[in-house]
Amino acid sequence: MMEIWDILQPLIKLCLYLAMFGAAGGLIFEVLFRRRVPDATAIHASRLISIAAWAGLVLVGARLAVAAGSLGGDLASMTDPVLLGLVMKSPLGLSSVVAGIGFAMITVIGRVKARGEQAARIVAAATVLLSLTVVGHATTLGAITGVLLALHLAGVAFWLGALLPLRQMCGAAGDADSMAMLADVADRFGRNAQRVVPVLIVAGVAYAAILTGSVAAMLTSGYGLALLVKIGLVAGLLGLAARNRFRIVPALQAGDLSAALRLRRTIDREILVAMAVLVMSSLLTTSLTLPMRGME
Amino acid sequence: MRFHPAHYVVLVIGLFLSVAAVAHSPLTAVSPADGARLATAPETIEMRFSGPSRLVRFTLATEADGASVELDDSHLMIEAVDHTVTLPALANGRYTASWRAMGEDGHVIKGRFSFTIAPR
Repeated sequence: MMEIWDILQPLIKLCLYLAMFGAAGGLIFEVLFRRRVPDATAIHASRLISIAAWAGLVLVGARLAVAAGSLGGDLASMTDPVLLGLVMKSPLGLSSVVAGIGFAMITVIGRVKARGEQAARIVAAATVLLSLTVVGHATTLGAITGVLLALHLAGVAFWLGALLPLRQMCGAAGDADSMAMLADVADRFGRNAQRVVPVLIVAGVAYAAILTGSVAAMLTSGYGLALLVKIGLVAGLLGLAARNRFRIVPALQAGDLSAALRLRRTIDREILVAMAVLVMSSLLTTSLTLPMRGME
Repeated sequence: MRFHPAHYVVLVIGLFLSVAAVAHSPLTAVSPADGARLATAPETIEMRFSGPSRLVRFTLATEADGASVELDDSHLMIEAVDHTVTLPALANGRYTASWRAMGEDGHVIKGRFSFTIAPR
């Protein structure tokens, strides 16, 4: 029998992913490109990071309440101190505390100007992302799965965190200067991505292979099939990214004004496909059981 | 047809619901087995999870009128792979057991199974 928790748990996880990759990924973008983007883009990126961090703080609390509700099976359980205590003592509680600390750090970083700001940004982003490695399937199969997941998450944050700031730059690229800045940042992002994305993919595939255990399990379990859908979507995302890197960015560098519009459209498609990837990830981490551990 | 954001929301919720409908139970063994037909009433229900899990809720209800069987709660809040629920004397009929637990990895897991007591 289906319940409200079957929707709420993956939905909260999906929103939490958006907040995490928006905040941590936005910080990574700031660290790498802050001095190379126009002021309007820097302000836009800071605002997005701040919104994502505040949303993340709310979502961390909501995730704990929904977990307690799901555990008890009714709405009153969401505030039941015994069930909330049980959730807090579990890896989900630890993950929520770590994520909460990371989000809180990000909200403070946005307000304080001080030495070591860059280091604080990296630590805050890492804290938010590492919170995902202390809960769920990654915790049950040894340290190697935690390390692989951390590498995978860092790569995802680098990629997704750049999409909205780059999109904003495309919209604002109306003169030669802003076009040159866009071409420079898009080119540097692409060069970095050529190093980061292979690590992201290798870590993700290795992590998935360890979790599913065998090709047969991949093809016959709900978890494996959902994973295959996710891999297919990521392949589509790579295709869009390759189009940006090898066709649109060279056109930008050549001063083709229409290239900014084309880049913006491709980024819109990337955002849509990335959302679908995160939907599959939220299902994989909340609603589906690992094949080697279940009754598949 | 142009897609509106609301269409995506409906699609995502539909996907969440359909995955929940086909998701498998993390129980690796249960006795009486799901769908079992028993000649005599069982004295216990045995559940084996795929990893250490804390059973938080367990209810047993008759299918005829949905009435819950009164159980003590000595089997709850214990973290273990194997769980035993001691049953009172059960009358003939079909019963559905529903359970909720927290896995060692922090996931909330839940499921249900049924059995029938019908002397041959």
